[in-house]
Amino acid sequence: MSVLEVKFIGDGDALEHIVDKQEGVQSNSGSVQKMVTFKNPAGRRTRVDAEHDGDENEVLDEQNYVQALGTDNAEVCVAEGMYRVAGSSIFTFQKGKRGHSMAQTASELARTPGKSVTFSTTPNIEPSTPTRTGRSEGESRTPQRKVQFVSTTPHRLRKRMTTPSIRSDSDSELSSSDSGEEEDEVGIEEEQKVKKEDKENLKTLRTPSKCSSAALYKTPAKKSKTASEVPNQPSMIEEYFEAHGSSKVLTSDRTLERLHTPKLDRETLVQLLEGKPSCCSKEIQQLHNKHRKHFSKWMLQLQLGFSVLVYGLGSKKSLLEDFRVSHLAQEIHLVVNGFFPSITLKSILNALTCEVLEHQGSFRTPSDQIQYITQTLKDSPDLHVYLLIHNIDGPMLRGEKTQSALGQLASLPNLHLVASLDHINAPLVWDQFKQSQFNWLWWECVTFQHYAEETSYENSLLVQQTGALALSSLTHVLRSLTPNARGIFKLLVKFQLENKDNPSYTGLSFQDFYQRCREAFLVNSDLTLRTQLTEFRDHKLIRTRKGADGVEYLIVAVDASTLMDFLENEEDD
Amino acid sequence: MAALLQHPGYEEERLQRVAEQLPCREVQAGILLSLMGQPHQYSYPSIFIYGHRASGKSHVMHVLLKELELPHATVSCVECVSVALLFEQVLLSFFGCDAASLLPRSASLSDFVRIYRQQCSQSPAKQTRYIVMEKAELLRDTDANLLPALLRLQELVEDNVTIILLSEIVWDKFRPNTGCFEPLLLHFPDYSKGELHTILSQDRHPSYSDEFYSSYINILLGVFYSVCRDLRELRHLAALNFSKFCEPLEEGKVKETDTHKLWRNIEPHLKKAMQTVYLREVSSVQWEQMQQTEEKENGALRGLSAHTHVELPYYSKFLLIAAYLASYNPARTDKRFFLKHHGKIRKTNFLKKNEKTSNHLLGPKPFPLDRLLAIFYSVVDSRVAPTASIFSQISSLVTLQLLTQVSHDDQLDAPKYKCAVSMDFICAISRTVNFEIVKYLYDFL
Repeated sequence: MSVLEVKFIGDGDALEHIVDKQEGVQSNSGSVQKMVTFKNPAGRRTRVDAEHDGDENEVLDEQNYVQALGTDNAEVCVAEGMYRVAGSSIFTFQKGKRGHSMAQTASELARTPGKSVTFSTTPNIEPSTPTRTGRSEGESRTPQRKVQFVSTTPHRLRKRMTTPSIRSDSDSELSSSDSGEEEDEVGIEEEQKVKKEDKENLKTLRTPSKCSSAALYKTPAKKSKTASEVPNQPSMIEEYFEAHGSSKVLTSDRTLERLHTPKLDRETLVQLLEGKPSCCSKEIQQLHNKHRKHFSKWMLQLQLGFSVLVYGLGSKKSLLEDFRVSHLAQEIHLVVNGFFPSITLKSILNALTCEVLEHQGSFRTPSDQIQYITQTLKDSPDLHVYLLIHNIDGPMLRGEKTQSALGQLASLPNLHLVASLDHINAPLVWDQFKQSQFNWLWWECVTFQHYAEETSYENSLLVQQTGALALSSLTHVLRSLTPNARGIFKLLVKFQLENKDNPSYTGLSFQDFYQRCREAFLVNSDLTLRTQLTEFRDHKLIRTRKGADGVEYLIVAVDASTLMDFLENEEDD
Repeated sequence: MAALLQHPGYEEERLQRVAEQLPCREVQAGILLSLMGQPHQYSYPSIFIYGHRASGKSHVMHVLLKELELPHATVSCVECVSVALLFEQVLLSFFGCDAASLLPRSASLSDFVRIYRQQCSQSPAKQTRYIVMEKAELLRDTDANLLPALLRLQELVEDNVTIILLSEIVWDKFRPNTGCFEPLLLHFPDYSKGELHTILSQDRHPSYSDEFYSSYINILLGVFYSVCRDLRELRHLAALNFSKFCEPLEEGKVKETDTHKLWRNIEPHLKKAMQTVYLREVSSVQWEQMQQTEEKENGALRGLSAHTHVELPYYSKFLLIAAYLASYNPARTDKRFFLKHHGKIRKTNFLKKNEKTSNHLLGPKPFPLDRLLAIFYSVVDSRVAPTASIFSQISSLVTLQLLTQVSHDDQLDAPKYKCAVSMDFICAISRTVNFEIVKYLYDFL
C-alpha cells in the first residue's frame, strides 16, 4: 500500500472537517453529561474507569490513548490508499481526517467542554513535554464536581477568570493570571512539581488524572491568547469579542518574585529534565518511521522544482536531519539553523558563496551576492545545491528582506529548498508573490518530539541568563522601548563600535554620554538619562564601572559583531 | 523698458537682448547684474535666490549667463544623486573632460578642491565663474559638510567663483547647526495678475490679432487665477484651449471684437478643463482629441480617478471589509455589531460618544491581527478554514497597499494593520459581495 500524502487543502474538505468537528463537540458535551450522571456507554466506560481507578498505571493509560490514536492513523491510511485508487481525491485534505478522528477520540476523553473545540490539532499531544502547558492545564484540572458549572457556556469568559481560584485551592499558591507568558512559565515549574508528586504518592486520586488530562489539553506550541485567534466557528468569535469587549485588565500581583524556588541556571534545568524519559517513545519512533517513508517522494518533488515545507507539532529537526543523512549525504547541501538567535541573511549567503560555490572575496550588497549565486548556478546546470532550513520562521529570518532573498534563491532551478516551520502565523510572511517564488509543497509532519534545541536559545524568565545577549534577544528587548530610549542605546553602541579597536577603551563616561544625548535631543535632564540607564541595566544591556577618577563608565556588554549586525538591522527598518 | 538694464561692464546691445527676454523681471536682473559686477571683478561668494515655483529664477539666471557669455556651470541637484556627479559636472563645464576624468571613483570634497585648484592654476579665471545649483534644497540631504563648503568655495579654491543657489525654500531652513558663511539673499516675488497677463500675451497666435489673444488671456485668467498662479500651468492651459476659443470665429458666427459671445462660448469649457486637465485626470492628448472629435462630450471620458474598481478574490474582499470595519469602528463596539446576543448595552450608553468627531475624519486606527480575523469570521457567512492561503492573502493585501502594516516590530507574533482604502472603494467592494457595510459602521449608526 502506498500512502498518498500530497496535501492540498481544498476549502470544501476543510469545511467538512470543521463541521464534523463541531459534531464532535456536541458529542463531547454529551459525554460530559453522561460522565456526571455515570451512565456511560460501554466503550467509553472503560476509559473513564481507567481514569478513575487506574491511578497507579497512569502511564499505561496514556499509552492506551496513543495506541488508540495509532490505530486511527492506520485506518485512515488505509482509507487514504483507497481514495487514491479512486483517483479522485488528490486534492483532499486527508491528514485532516486523521486529525479529526483524533480530535474525536480526544473530545471523548475531554472533561471540560469548550477548550477542546479550538483546533484540529488540539489533541496531538505528547504527554511529557514540559513546555507551555499553562492555563490549559489549569482548566483541565478542574475537579469533576465543577463540570456541570463549566458546561454552561454563555459565561465562559468569566469562568475562565475564575478557574485559577479553583485551581489555587488545590495545592499550589500560584494563581494563574490571564496574561500570557509568565504564567506559561509558571506552568512548567508547576508541572515539574506535579511530576515529582506523581512519583511520590501514586495513590492519590487527583494528581494522576490531572496529569493525563493536562497532557490532553495542551495546545500545540502556541500561547493561550492565540487560541482565540483562529476561530473557525461562531462560538469562537463570540469568545473573542467577549474576551476583548471590556477594557478591564485583570492582573495578578502574584509575581515570579514570590516564587519560593530559586532561579535555575540552564545546566541544572537540563539536568533535571534529563531524567524524564518520554513515555511513548516507541510510538514517536513509529511516527518518525512513517514520515521517513516519504523521503524519496520529497527528493522527487525537489527535483521537479518544488520546495518542501514541513509543518506540524513537535520538533522537525531530527526528521530533517534524518532526511539529510539518508538522501542528501552525497549531494552538496547547506543546513541553516533558523532558530539560532544570531543568524543573519548575510551569514547564509556567505556560507553559500564561500563554502558551496568556493568564491573568494566579498560582496557589496546582499543583492550582488544573490546575483552572483544566480549566475553561477545558471552557468553550471549540473550543480545541484540543497538548502535545508530548520525553522524558516525563526526570529531572525522573519524579515521581509530575508524572506524575499530566500525566495529568490528558492526560485533557482538547481537550488532546492527544504524547510520546517513552527509559528502559527508563519504563512503571513509570504504574500502571493513570495509563495510563487518558493513553490511550497506543504507536508504535515507531526512528530511530537521535544523542541529541545530550538528552545534552548529562548529567553525564559525562570532560567538565569548566561553569557552575552544574542542578536535576537537584543532586538527583542529594544523593540519594546521608546524611540528615544532606542536612540540613547544606539548612541552608546555607535560610540563603542568606533572605539572597538582601542584596547584601552574603558567605556563612555556618564557626563560625556549625557552631553551627547542632550545634543541629540534624546533626554531633557540628568534624571531621565539615569532612569533610562537603569532600565538598560535591568535588561542586562549595559554594564557600568567606576573608573579610577570616580566617574561612571558605561559599556555595552555585547560583542562587537553582534552590535554591528544590530545596527545594520536597525538601519534597514 | 530696456533702458532700465544698464551696466558699464557689458555691451549695450547684449543688455538689450537680455531685457527683451526678461519681461517683468527687470528689477531682479538689474540687482543681479550689479551684484555680479564687471566680468573680471570678484563677485560675492554665494547668492541665494528664492521664490515660488515658476517665478523665473532659473530663467533669469540662464538668460543672463548665456547672453552675457559668462563661464558658468548649471547643476541640478535632483540629478546629482551623489556628490561625485556634482563635482564631475562642475569640472566638466569649467575645464573640459580632461579635468573631470582626474576625479577618483568615489570623489570626496577634498578631491574636488584639489583638482579644481590644480586646473585653476593652469587656466586662471579672467572672468567670474558661476556655479548655478538648481533645486538647492536637496543639498541639505547630502553630506553635512557639502553646503558649508560650497558657500565658501571662493575661499577654498582661491579662484573667482560664485555659487548661486536657487530654491523654493527660505534660507532659514538651510542653515546648518554649526553655522556657515551666510549667502546674499535675493527674493523673486510672485507675478501679479497684470504681469501674468503681459507674459502670457507674448506668445500670441500669428494668424490672430494681439487684442484678440489678449482678451482670450483675460478670460482664461478670470477663470483660473483664483486656483492657479503658476505661469507654466497657465501657459499650458492657454495653449490647450485656444483652438476651442477660435472655433466660432472660424465658423464665421462671430467677429473678433465680439468678446461677450466668445466668452459665453469658452467659459463652460474652461470650467470643465479645470476639473479634468488641470487635475491630470485626462491627459492633454486626450483633451485635444476630444476637442477635435467633438461628438464626445467632455467628461464622458472617465478620468484616472474613476478607475478605482479592483477585482479581488472572494475572501480578500471580505478580509478587506473586515479590515475596514476594524479600522473605523472602536473596539468596544465590536460586541454590539458582531455578536448576536451581545447582552445588555444601554442604548444611551452606547451612543453617548456619538457627539464626538467621527472616526472617518480622524483616519484609520490600527488593529491587531486577531481582531481582523475575528471580524472576518463573523462577517463571512460560510465557514472558512484558517489556511495558509488566508494568511498570505492578508500579506498580499499589504503588498498591494490596500492594507498597511503599522509597526514593523514583530512580523509574526502580533502584527498590527491599518486599512488604507476609501469609503467609496469599500462600498463598491461590499456591494459586489452583497454585504451592507454601512449597517456595521459605527459612524453611520
